[in-house]
Amino acid sequence: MFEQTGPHATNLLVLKNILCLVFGVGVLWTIVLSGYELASSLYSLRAYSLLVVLLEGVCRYLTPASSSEISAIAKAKTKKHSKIFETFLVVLLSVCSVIGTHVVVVLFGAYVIENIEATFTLSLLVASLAFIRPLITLGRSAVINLLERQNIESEVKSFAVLVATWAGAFPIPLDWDRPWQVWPLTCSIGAILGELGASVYFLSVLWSKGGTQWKNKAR
Amino acid sequence: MPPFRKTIILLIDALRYDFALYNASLKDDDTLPYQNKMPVFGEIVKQHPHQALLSPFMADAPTTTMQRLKGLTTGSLPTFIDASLNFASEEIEEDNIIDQLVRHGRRVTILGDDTWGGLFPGRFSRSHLYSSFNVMDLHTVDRGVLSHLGEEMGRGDWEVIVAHFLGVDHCGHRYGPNHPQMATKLAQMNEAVLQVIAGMDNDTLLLVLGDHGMTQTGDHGGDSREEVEAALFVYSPALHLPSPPVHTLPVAQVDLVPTLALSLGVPVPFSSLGKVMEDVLVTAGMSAEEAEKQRHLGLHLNVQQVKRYLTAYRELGNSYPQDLWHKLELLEGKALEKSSVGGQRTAFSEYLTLAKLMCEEIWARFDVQEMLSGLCLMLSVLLMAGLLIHSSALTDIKTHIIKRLLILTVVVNLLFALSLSFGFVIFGYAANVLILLWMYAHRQHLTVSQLDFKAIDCIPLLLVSFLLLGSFSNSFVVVENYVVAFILLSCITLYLLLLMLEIVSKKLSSGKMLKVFGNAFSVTCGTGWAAAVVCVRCSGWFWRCREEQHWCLPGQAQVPLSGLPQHLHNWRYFTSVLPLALAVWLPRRWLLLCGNLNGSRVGVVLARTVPVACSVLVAVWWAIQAVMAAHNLDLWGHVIPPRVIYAATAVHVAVLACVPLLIYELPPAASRKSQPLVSDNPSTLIPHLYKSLMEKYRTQNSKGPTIPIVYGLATGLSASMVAVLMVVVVVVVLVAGDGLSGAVLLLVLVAAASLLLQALWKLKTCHNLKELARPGWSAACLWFTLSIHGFYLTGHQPTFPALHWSAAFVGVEGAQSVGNWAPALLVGLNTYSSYLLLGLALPLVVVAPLALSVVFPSLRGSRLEGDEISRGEFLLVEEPDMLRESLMSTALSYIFLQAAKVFCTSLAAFVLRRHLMLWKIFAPHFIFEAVGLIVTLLSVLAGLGFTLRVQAALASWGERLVKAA
Repeated sequence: MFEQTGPHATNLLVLKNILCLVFGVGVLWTIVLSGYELASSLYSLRAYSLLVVLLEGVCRYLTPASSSEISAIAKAKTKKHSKIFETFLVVLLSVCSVIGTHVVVVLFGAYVIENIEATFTLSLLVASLAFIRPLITLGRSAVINLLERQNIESEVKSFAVLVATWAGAFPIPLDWDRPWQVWPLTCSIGAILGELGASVYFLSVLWSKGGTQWKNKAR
Repeated sequence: MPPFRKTIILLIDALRYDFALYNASLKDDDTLPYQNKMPVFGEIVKQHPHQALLSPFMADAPTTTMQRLKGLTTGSLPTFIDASLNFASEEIEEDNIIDQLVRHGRRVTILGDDTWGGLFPGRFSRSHLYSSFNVMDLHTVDRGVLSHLGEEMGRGDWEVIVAHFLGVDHCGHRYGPNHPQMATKLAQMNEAVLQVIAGMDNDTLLLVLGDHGMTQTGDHGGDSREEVEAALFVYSPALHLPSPPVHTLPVAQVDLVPTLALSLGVPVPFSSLGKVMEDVLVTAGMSAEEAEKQRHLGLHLNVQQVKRYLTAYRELGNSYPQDLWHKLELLEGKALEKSSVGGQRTAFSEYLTLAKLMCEEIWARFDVQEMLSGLCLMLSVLLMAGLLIHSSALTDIKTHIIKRLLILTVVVNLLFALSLSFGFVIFGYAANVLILLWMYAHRQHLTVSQLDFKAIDCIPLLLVSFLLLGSFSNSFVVVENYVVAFILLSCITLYLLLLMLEIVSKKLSSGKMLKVFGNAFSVTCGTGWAAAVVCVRCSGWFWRCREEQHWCLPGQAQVPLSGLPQHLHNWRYFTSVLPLALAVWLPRRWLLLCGNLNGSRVGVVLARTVPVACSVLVAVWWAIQAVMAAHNLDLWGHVIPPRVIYAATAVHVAVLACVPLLIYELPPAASRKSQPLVSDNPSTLIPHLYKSLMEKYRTQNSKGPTIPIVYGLATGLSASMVAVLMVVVVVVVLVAGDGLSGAVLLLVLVAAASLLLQALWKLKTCHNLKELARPGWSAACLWFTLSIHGFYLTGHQPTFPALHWSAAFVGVEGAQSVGNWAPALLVGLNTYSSYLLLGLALPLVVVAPLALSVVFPSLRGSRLEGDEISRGEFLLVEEPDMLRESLMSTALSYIFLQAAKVFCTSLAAFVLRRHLMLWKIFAPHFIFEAVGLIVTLLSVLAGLGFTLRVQAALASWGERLVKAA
């Protein structure tokens, strides 16, 4: 992946990940400052989800076409799909992914009707972090691409977010009566922590790559 | 004429003796927060030494409030499980002081902790009760009591007032004794006692007492001195105590009941073991002689009562330690011989002390040594099982090792028999040493050959270990039904994820969603996952609420049809019959699909008729029950349907065990032409085996004409098992009752979906038969989680009030006619139905991939040679060693996980034996798991035995066929 990207793209990636870090820390900070007050926390989580999706969209717009994208465009051309149709499909799939996430969250034990707002906020957060972002970068066959491990950044992030959200359910049963144990804060915080971890990991990978590149240049 | 007309009991929860003791030598600045905060006791005793008494008040462990209240009112010692006749309600059913008071016209007023309301519903003439649930709340109960206490004392309509303060206990739980809050709380209590004393009449007896103490961290429940030593303060203006002794003697808490009873002039409750405090019976007006007589009378009544109880207890078939019982009888004789009143008195008190001692001896207490030896034994057995699973001893079955293992088992169990005379500790360690020695001696066979843990094995093991660790946390045990469902869902989803990864990795960069996920295999994966997940999620309808799950609303499923309102009867009836019908129809459909229900073999005929007939009978029985309940009838013969079902099941299982073959040989050549061809009649699909058999025989002996055609051979191994399970499911539904038939169906569906996913995974990843037939840890973890999930799904909780007692009356008319074992067995079957079903069905895990690959050839992976695998389960019949090995390893892994769960729960109960919630959460959890392990062991053994029996029958049938050809 990395070999094919130019320095401009790498810089953009670094910038994107740093912004991701900033956003993640920011939303955690807001939640902590609000004293884990539910309504305001949910509000900031939704805002964060939107922000992340926007960031991804902007990056996609700025990035020069990469290899997978070129192939996707080529395919699109051969099959005579217009760009608008492609965008429409991505939006449709994003909505589907939010609904799908919501269904899975409910299947995993969230209440169906009670706390529906909280549950939906969590689904929005997880879907935008784990599914909508890859959909924006990779196009409509994102799921397959993820499973094929073609785009390391998206894959690491998606999996980290999903696993961390899942692990966030474990503190819920404890009888500590802490404000952050309220549904869906543990899972949401888990998701954001997963995202932060993945971003840090990815930045470190970029850093070491950049380092070798720089060394190579020096030689 | 009783010594006192009225009594006020101030029960200050967790009032430790040193909280009440006044130490004048301490300066105010030096005192700890709990010291010298209740000077009232010291002052009163100093001012009126003949009217007041303060002494340690020794509780019996478990020192939890509920158990203590039972002890304080019945006067009996706590037993391990409070062995009352009815677990279902909290109500005390033994004879107790409150009942005696009410029966003799005394009016009792209660203030404070609402536990009393649950223990004695409807007994109190007036009550002001407050919830004791929130341990963080220090004041609600106390303020409530204080606001009503003065007013209630002023009323004339009481003989006994019980005021139960909770603040000190809650303060201990929240802050511990060393906290300024405790000082405030104790000062408040001091004030309360002062007020009561000021407002008392002359003929009133005041008792201030703690039910238990607390540790330095404010906990209680165990048997340390701090927890056991509570305070007792007795005071009455009318009292005349002898001169106070220099050293105050401790009083046992059971002594309260006889003292209270005799001082108020009511009979001592039947099961009380206490010894009356005879000095409290003496009032100020009495002469010395009268006082002596009064003491003597009290003790004499007390001895008669205790003796009556001990004799009755013995006549129930219980035994006492021989020497102690003998001594007691001697003492009694001596007391009657003695002429002097004083001599008799000493003999009486000795008798009472000894009687209590004897009962303490035979009733429960913590024996750390025995617990440790038991835990060590469990650990070493677990270690051995773990080594066996991975060692070479199983991979190429060495019968002599298995035989030696059998000898070891017999020896250990013989040791167990010996332990009755030598004590369990020695036995435990001896057995432990034996097992370790055995393992050492066989170390070359037990070396772990290869440990290739893949993601599919590791992650479920990790999940299961979360579940096991949860046993140590009370909050995780309380919500275990949610945790297990979550972990089960995670396991199932993991299968789906890995399968998806596997599918995608094979079709690299094809890019198209539909192309990759549109084939039969992927669709089956998705459907199986969705079915399993939805079924697990729906299980919430059938969960039963634990007492601690305060958010949980009890569902309707727990209520039997007769308990529902009239307009719901039809709805309930049909929603119960439909799952029952499905639970029978689906396996039947499967067997038809496999061609196992053709022909007229005995087994086939039974498998075709018995499950259907039984399920119809179940529906009929439910209808009869509903009619009887609605019209209050007692129909003759209403117990016949269940009994017929039991009998039919027994016959069915026995016959299938003897002639287990569910196959149909087509009559050869001549008559075959008239039979329709396979392709003409797709509804009776002939498994592909027939082709391969044909080819096999063609290559072996090319004579040609006599080619046997057999229906259902490819699933011959599992079909008999399925046929047995069908009937067992019907019986389980019968015993579970109409409300829970849906739960049983859900369990069957989840199990089927798990088998499907596991089989798909195996078909996708395995390269040869050996791998295919070895399910590995992932399947064991899935099956284990499922068994626990099934326990909760069928409406159970590991607490005694949650047992389904109604199951005891399914097909049993009167308990007297059959004894206790039948109802006990039925309740056990109801409680452990999931352990039974899943244990029996365990061999299906091994054979499922083979059966599936034959019946749905499109699911077969490309890695396995098509021709070989189309023979299905018959492959394993031809390789008995492989079958035995994979059955053994699967069963061992499954049992290993169950045993690990029992080990964790017992370790939790041991480590947390001082925990507040031991008797409510950890101990019942351990007991339920331990019994579950026994059920698992028996059912897994039965399942294995049955499968091997089928295999032997199929093998001998095959030999005969070859000979005939």
